Amino acid sequence: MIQLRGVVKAFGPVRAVDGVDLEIRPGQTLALLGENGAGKSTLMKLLYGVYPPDAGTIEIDGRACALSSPAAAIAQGIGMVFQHFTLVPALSVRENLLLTWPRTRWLLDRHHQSMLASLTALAPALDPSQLVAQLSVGERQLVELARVLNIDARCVILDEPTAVLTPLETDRLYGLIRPLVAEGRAVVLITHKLADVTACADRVVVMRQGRIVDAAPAGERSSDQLVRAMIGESQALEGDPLPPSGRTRLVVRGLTAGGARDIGFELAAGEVLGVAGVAGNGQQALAEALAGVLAPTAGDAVLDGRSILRRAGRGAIDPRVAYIPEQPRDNGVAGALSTTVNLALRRLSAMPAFPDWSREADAARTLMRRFDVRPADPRLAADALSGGNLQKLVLAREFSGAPELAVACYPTMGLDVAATGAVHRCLLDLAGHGACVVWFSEDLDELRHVAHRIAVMRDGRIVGVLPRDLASRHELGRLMAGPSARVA
Amino acid sequence: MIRAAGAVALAAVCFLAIAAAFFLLIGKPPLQMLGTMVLYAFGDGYSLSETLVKATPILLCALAIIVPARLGLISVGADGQLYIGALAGTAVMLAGTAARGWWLLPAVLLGAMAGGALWGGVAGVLKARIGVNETISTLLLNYIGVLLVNHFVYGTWRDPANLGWPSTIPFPPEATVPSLFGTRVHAGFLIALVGVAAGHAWLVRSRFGVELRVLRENRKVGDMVGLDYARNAIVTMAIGGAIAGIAGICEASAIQGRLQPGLSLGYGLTGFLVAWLSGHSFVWAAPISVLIGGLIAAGDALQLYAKVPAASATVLQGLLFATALAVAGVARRQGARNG
Repeated sequence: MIQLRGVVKAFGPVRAVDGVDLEIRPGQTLALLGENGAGKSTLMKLLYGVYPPDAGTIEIDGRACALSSPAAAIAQGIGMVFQHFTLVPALSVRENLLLTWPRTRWLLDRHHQSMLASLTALAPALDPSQLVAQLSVGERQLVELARVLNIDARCVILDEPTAVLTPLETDRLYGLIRPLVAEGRAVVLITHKLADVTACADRVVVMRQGRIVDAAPAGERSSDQLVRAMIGESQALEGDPLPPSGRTRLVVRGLTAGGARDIGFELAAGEVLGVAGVAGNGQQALAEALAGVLAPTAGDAVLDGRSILRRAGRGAIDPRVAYIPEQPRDNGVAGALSTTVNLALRRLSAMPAFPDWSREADAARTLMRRFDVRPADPRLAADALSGGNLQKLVLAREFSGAPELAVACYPTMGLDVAATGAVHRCLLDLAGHGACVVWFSEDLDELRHVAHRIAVMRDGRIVGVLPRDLASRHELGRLMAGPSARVA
Repeated sequence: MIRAAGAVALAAVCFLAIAAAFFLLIGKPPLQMLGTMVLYAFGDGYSLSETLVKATPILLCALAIIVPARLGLISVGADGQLYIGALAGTAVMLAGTAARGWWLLPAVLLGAMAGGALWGGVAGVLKARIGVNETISTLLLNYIGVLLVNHFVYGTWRDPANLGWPSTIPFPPEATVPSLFGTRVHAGFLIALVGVAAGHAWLVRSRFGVELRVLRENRKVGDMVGLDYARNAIVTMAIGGAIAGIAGICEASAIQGRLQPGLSLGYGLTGFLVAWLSGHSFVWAAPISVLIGGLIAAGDALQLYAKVPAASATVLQGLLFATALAVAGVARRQGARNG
């Protein structure tokens, strides 16, 4: 039994955790629910010894503990799997497990066996001599989890574990959590997805602005109640997309680029095409080819009679195309540069040799206010923005030029409810004005909500396109998995 | 800003303490030696001019490192570029020495810049086209540069009047970078100052400077918005090389009066350290270069008048860089902890 009493942690003027009392009981899955920046991760990092609390105590089995470092927390049987993994990609799975194998100085064969035991239980098919760099995101998470189990953690903290997983991998993770709890361990699941709560939580604690605003057994709360607790008000889902007009604008024929092969489809003005599929089935290549980042080896994509593809491997994205790349922090901004520069990136090559930066800063401030980027500070480094605000910054840049086609990759991944709503509004507004939208997502419910049609990719090809009213979860899952896949 | 000033003060105190310990070790009175050093570096007109003479090639080499560093390239090739610049400039001088005229000096300077640009550009092309690590390639090109100069001054360019001493004929006045105020300080110092101002305006305020920073921070995003990493790698390496080439021809023509081996007293490496210490800032590189120049000039004077070993200046220079980098590291860690 772990008990946090009156725990406070402030960063500068911001009280990230503001007087929290929390009880973590063995044999239970606790879902710690809240929007981005609600203080969930900070609270758990206090428990894991990453930061010392400014005030309050942490008691383990009734004794107050000073967890001054993760090593101290690990010694108390607390393990954490971070959202951004801490494995060494250049080492093999076995070597990564070795790095944190605490039990012995000399490594004998029998130690190897017990070190790999938890991994074998979690993922029997995983070869421990494989390099971590070659693993999928889901597999890496399993290795992280095995590492935590190796320290005999009685309390396992998972930070947003499903944010990076495909639906199949997510279901498998839920299946792994239940036996952990059955063994008498405590599991804390940090999340902002309601689906995680309903799937495997015993108890749910909702945080908002550093405080706990609701705590109850998971069965006693409806999704609507939880959302209201998270965002402080009931938020209606955004409206459906308008019906597209008949005029065809985008024609893609036989497009082959990287892992995407022989892609063909047409989009009418105002139409939203959702693209679903298990990660790594050519979606990224298709998105980059459509955005004009990746040069195609065959085929064409024509918008209003002119090709949008990159030729001869050089040149900028077509100005008519807005591109929202996957993981904008890595792929969409130059993080150390100011928001002003990041907002001007698409126009940079056309600027005069000595741009008027103060005017650019004014324009940036206006644009950030319009897209609700907070704080709307034109001198702030883009990296200092939170995930949702960074995504809105990329949207602001890409949409300020009135694009005719938007290619959006997982635009709401990792965002909270309010930011997700803002992203939806932006993209659907654009479609409402007659632009075409190609929307990549692994969230099938999101696609069924926003798209007119949903294409499913497998092995680099589009294996089916369903109109939204026929696109049930079951039907999409069948297309994604393919004929030979086992049902998880 | 206050924190930066504090770090500089701390570095100075640490350096003075360690330097005093060094003088004690070699059996000299520390306080008196330190005082003498300041006098020999900045005490009178002559000392100051010698300091600037030493600071000039260091500052030019620092600029040659900073320009590619704005794109994130770590070049250590200023020395090789300096040698090849001097070699190319000397070639122009030798070709034009028969028909002298006012045009000879500009032609010699342009030749030196072209030579340095070529040497930097080679590393740039290797990086841009086939991904050769620029640090390794510039390091190796340094050896080639030094040895190429040796090849010519021991060989076809050796002045027979020198009776076996390996050097070219003296630079005629028309091909010599002019000196200032009758001292050994030469116009290369002014060129370096212009380089500081131009570099600051150009790479900090201009679109081009921002483009380099975007590519340094995120090459993928730069590529997405149409910026050309490969071209910029070649351009920045070539510009850096051209600046180092100027340092080379100034040393050969104005200081040594002829091209001969041992042209650079480690100016390239010192320039690299200055560039690093300045945080790749054009503005900071200038005062740091003058400080290092003063240290070298004072070391020379101490060797003559106070009978300290010849290596003392080098030892002190090493101590200065080591303390400054260590204090900068400590300051950064403190900043990260508090921030």
